[in-house]
This record gives sequence, C-alpha cells and structure tokens, in this order.
Amino acid sequence: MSLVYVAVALILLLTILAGLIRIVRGPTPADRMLAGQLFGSTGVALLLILSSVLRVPMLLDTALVLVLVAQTAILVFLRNLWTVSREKGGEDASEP
Amino acid sequence: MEEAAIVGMKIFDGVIACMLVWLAWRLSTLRDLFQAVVLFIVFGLIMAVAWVRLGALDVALAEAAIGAGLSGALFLLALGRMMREPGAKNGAELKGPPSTRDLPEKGNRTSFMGHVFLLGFVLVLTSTLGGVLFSIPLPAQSLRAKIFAEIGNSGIGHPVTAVLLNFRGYDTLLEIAVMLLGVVVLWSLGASRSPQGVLLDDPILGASARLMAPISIVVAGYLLWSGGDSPGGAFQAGAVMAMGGILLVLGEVRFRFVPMSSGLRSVLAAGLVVFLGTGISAMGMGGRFLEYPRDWAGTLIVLVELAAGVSIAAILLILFMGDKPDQETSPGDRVI
Amino acid sequence: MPLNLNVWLGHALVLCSIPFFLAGTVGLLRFPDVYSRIHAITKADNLGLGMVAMGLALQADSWTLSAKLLAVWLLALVGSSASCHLLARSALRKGVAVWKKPR
Repeated sequence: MSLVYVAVALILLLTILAGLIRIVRGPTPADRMLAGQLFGSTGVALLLILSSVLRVPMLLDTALVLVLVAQTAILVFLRNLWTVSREKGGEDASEP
Repeated sequence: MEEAAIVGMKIFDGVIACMLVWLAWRLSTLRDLFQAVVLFIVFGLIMAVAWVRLGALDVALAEAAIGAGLSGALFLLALGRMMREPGAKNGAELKGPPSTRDLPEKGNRTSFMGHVFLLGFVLVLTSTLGGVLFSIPLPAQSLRAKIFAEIGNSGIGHPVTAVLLNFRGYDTLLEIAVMLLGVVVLWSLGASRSPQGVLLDDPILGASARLMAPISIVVAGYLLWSGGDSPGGAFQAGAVMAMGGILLVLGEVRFRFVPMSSGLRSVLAAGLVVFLGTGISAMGMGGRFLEYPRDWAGTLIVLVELAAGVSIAAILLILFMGDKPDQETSPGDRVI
Repeated sequence: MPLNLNVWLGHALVLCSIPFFLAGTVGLLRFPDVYSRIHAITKADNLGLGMVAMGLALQADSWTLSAKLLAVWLLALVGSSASCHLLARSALRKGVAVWKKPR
C-alpha cells in the first residue's frame, strides 16, 4: 500500500467532510446541489485512488457507474423542484 | 511505511463510520426535506465507499447506481410533486430571494416521552447487537469454504453471482417478482405528471444526454457480461441502463414511449418469465425446480441474466417515469 | 529509491491534484454567491480528477485500465460541465443575486 495514496484518500475524505458544511448552511437550494455535485467528483477520485491502494482494479467499474449516475440528480432538481415558469416570464409563485 | 499506511486506512475507516452515523442522524431529524434528500444522496455515496472498504464490490456497484443515483432522483421527483399539491406551504406570493423554508416540512414533532422511549430502545438494541457481535468466536465461521467447494458445479466463476443466481436463485426470482409487482402497483395508482417537469430549453442538455445515454448502455452491457467472473450482474447492469434511459427522458430527447404497449409489457415481464422458464426446464432435465444441471448451468444463467438485466432496466425506468397517460389524451401513444 | 519514472510521475501528478480539490472545497465554503461557487467546484471536477486519473493511468498495469481511467475522467468532464452550466443558468433565471463587491 502506498502511503502517498492513503494520505491522498484521507485528504479527499476530509474535503467531503468540509463540503458538508455548505449543505448544512447554503442559503439557496442550488448551493446544496452544488455541494452534491462536488461530492460526486470527489467520490469518483476517491474510488480511483482506493482502487490503486487496495489493488482492486474492479473499483474502476464502480467509479464509471458513479460518473454516469452523477448527473441525474441535478437534472431532476432543475426540472421538477427549482423551476421557472416560462409563461409568467420569471419566478413562479409556487416554486421555492 | 506499511504500518503507517495501515494506520492511515484505519483512520479512513473511522472517519467513514462517523460520517455515516452523523449523516443518518442528521437526515432523519431534519425538518427541511430538501436538505434531507441531498444528505441522503451523500449518504449513498459514502455508503458505497464503505462497501468498498468491506470488500463487497457488487454491493458498492449497486449502491452507487441505485442508492446515490436512482433513489436520489426518485426522492427529488417526489419532493417536486409534493410541492405542487394544494396542502403544501406555498400558496402565497414569494417575496425576496428564494429560500428553502417554503418547501414542505415534516409533520408533528415527537414528544419528550417519545424521545426517551426511542433513546432507550436504541440503547437496548445497540447493546444487544454489540454483545452478540463481541461474543462470536474468531475466526468467524462463514460459508466461504463451502461456496468455493461447490463453485465448480455452478457454471459461474464469480462467487457472488453464483450464490445469487444458482445456489440461492429462488431468492433472486422472488426479488424480480417483487419489482414487477411494484410496477403493477404503480400503474394501478393512476395517472401522474411526467417527470420531465419544466422545459429547460438548452441545447447542452440534449447534447450531454445524447452522449451519456449510449455510453450507459454499453457500460451496462459490460457489467452484465463481466458479472460472471467479477463484480457486476443483472441488477447493477439494469440500474445503469435505467439511469441512461432517465437521462434521455430528462434530456428532452424525443422518443416514442407507449406506456401500456404489449412490447413494453413483454420486456417488463421477460426477466421473471425467463427465470421461471429456466427453473422449470431444470425440472425437465431431471432435477428440482431451479436446480440447474451442471453442464447447462452456465448457459441458463447467462440467459437469465440477460433477460433479468433488461427487465430490471425497464422496471426502474417505469418506476421513475410513472404512469398511464391521462384518460382525456389519446390512448396509447405519447411522444415525449 | 527506485528510479522508475512512471511511478514517480504518477505519484507527483496525484499529489498535484490535492491543491485543486482543496481549492474547490475552500471556494465552495468561502465564495460569496452561487455563481462563484460553481466556478470553484469545476476546478476540482476537471483538474483535480484529471490529475488523479492521469497519475493513476501512468502506473496502471495494462492499457485497458488506463483507457478506463481516461474514460472516467472524460465522462466526469461532460457530466459536470453540463450540470454546472444548467445550474448556473437556472439560478440566473430564478433571480439569485450576483454578488457585487461592496464599496
């Protein structure tokens, strides 16, 4: 096991930990989804590093799956939760 | 350097464990449901890493695809639909910048005695489980040796897939049946709004969906095939394919979706039917139900995985998309 | 210390990714509005992940693994760029205020 990679894995985990603060605080919903997006990429990097640390090449498949899946949450959020009504030409009264 | 690396990984595991506990506590007690859903997605991600550390790669794959991806999307979808219900807290005109306080909140608060009771219950449960855990003699007895002894007879190289689809195939058959039942229940609930939501009207949306969706299908096929010798299999492949389909739906790519067509229903049922078929044909070849003969096991399992993978993809996609069309619109076709 | 260039370069690249991830997180926490935060996290998404992928690809055991690593990075690029762009556009339409430097 390479010590360098273990250190990198720990640092990545700590950045995820720090990013949680934005989820808790973030004033707008976009801030929270943003942090989620960052976690997705950091998680992928973490899985890649772990695949080298643990000498398990199959982890790359998990990283691949995570990458493909990371986009959908934001898209669902933008289309169904945080919407802007086109007819009223601006903010809809019933959206946050 | 080795000891330092091992200590480092122990710290890593400790941080992951603490994060899991904190995340679980926080997202259960939050009143702001949107924040809870985002934390749930993060929880799924950290859980996937935890599964990796526990050596369960198949579960990590499934957790990444379903826990962090599909479940998060479904929760957000549900939240969006809840907001448009008459009972939600959003009747008034919005003043000022958008805030999450207008999203639906959870219901009644628990009383003090309720908290005491819950705490006592959790403590009893934890101490019982802890006592059981620490009283297990080491080395722990597991079925590992027995599985590897029999794996030659199963027709599959990867032990997890062998257990799922051969040794305990009955459980998997029932799981697929339950998922199909989910679709039946969903369709009997009646019409609901399309998950497409509001039009985003942005070319980048369609472009990225058109790029990622076919790659999802290829990766799903790869996972399905490699499930024989390495982590993968029908559930993971089906989930990834479903996510690709969801990307297409959200990406405003036009395709024909005929909700109750016989083609769709055949695909949905295919997994269960093929699985039952192989089980019955195993009886025909001189065994009991689902007892695959040694020479045919590999082929039968590949057949089942193929059918189940496609079925599961269709089931998960339908669970996301909903419903029958409204009765007023033209029956049958719906162009998305 | 063995003078294996691949291993050295690989480790160096992975180490170089850390400042980008840190910058992304610090930016996420400290920048004043949504738009600048989006700007910050894309650095982590693109360069941070890219350096990790490149560093690991240099030390991979086979070409297949390197290709997979490259594919992961490229897909992450496409996904995160599209998502962040759409997020920023929606935020603009929703009227989220752009931060102005106070005089």
